Amino acid sequence: MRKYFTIAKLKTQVELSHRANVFAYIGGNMLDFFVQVIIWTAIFSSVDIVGGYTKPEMITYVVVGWIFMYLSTNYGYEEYIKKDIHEGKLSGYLIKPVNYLSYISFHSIGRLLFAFSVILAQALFFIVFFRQTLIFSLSPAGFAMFILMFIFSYAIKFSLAIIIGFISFWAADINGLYFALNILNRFLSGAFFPIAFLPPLFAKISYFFPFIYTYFLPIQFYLGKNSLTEGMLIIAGQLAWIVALYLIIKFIWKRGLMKFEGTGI
Amino acid sequence: MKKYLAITKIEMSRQLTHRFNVASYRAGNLLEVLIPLIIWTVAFRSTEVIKGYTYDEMITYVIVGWLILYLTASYGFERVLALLIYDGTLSQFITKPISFLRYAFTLGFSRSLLAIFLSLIIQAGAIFIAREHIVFRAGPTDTLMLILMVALAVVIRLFYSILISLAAFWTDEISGVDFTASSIIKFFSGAFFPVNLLPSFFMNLSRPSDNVIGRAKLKCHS
Repeated sequence: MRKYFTIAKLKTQVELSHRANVFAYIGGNMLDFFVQVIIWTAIFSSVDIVGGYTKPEMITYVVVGWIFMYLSTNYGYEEYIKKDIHEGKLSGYLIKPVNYLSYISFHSIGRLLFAFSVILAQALFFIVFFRQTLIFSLSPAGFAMFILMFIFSYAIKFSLAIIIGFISFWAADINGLYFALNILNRFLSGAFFPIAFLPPLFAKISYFFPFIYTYFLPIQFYLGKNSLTEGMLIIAGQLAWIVALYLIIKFIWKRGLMKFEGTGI
Repeated sequence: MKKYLAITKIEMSRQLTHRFNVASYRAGNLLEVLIPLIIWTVAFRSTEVIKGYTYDEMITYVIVGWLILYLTASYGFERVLALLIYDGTLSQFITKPISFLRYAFTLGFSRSLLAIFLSLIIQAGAIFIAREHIVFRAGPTDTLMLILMVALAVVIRLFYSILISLAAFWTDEISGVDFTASSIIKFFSGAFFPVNLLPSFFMNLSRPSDNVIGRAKLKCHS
C-alpha cells in the first residue's frame, strides 16, 4: 500500500512543478461557469419559472453543480492511459510488482490534489458572490450523504475514463471519441441543463446510464427535491454502477492485454 | 507553392486515415448544438421575447452561429504545433528550405478541411430540421460580406492558434493556456449566447477584439 501513497505523493509534486499550467485553466473554468449564469440570468429577466425551476434554484443548480463537477473531474485520464498504451509504457508496469489499475487510481489522486485546492478557492469565491441567491437546505445527515455522492461520482467518472482509455488497445486515436463521450456525459448528466428539460423519452433513457448519478441526481438532492430515503437510493445506484463499471474494466483489461503489442518500447 | 500543396494532400490523407476520430468529434459537435437549442426552447415556452430576441431569431443565432464557429475552429491545432516544438521536429524546418509559418498555416488549413466538410453536413441537417424557424434576412451583398467575414475569421483563428502554440517555447505544458484562450474566444465571440446579453462593460470589452466570428453571427440577423 505504501508504494501507492508514494505514487500519489510524487504525482502531487509533479503537478506542483507545473502549477502555472493548472492556474492557466482557471480562466477557462470560470468562463464555463459564467456562460451558464449569464444565460440563466437573461432568461429569468423575462420569466419567473423555467421547467419548474425558480431563479434561486437554477443559480444554485449552476453554482453547486459547477463545484461538484470540477471537484469530481479526473482531468483527462483517458489521454494519460492512451499514452501509456500507445507509447508502450504499459509494459513497464506489467513486469513490475505493481497493479496498473491501483497505480493509475493513486496517480489520479496525486494529480487531483493540487487542482482540488484551486477549485475549492474558486468555489469559495462563487459561494460568497452568490450568497444572497444560493439555497442552503441540507441537514447534517443530508450533507454527509452529499459528500458520499461526490466521492462515488468521482469513482464513476474515473471508471469511465479508464474504459475510454482502454479503447486505445484497439484504436490508434481516441481523442475524438473522448471528446464526443465527454459531451454526451455532460449532456446526459445534466451538467448543461436539468434533465427535466429533455423530452420525457430522453429523460427516461438517461436513467439507464451512469452519467445522471454524477451530476443531476446529487444536485437535485442538494436542492431538497429528494428525501433522505431517495438520497439513499441514489447512493445505492451509484454503488451499483461502480461495481458494474469495475467488472467492465476488468473484462476490457484482460481482452486488451491480449491485443497489446508493447509498441513504442 | 507545390511543396505546400503536397502538405495539404498528405494531411488530407492522414485525416482520412483517422476518419473515425474526425467523425467522433463531429458527433460531439452535434450534441453541442443541441444543448443551447434545448435550453432556449424550454425558456421560450414561458415568454415570446428574451432580451430582444424572438424564438426564431435565437434558433437562427444558435444554428448559424455554430456553423460559423465550426468553419473557423482550430480543431486543436495549437497542440499539434506545440508538439513540433516539444519533440524537436521544429529543427527540421530550420534546416530545410521551407518557412515554418507557411508550413503551419498550410497544415492548419488542410487539417480543417475534412472537419469543415463534415460540420457542413451536420449543420445542413440542423438547418433542414429547424427550417421553419430559420430567419435569413440578408440580401446578396450581405451574404457575400458574411462569406468574406468567415474567410477572414478562418485566417484570424489560424493566427491565434499559431500564437498560442508558440508559448511552447517558454513553457513545457500549454494545455491550460490553450483551454483558457479558447474559452475566452468563444465567450467574447458570442458562441454561447448573443454578446448583447452581457453587461455593457463586457460588451464594450468584446468590441475592439478581432473576433469577426461574433460580428458575422450578429450580421445574420441584421
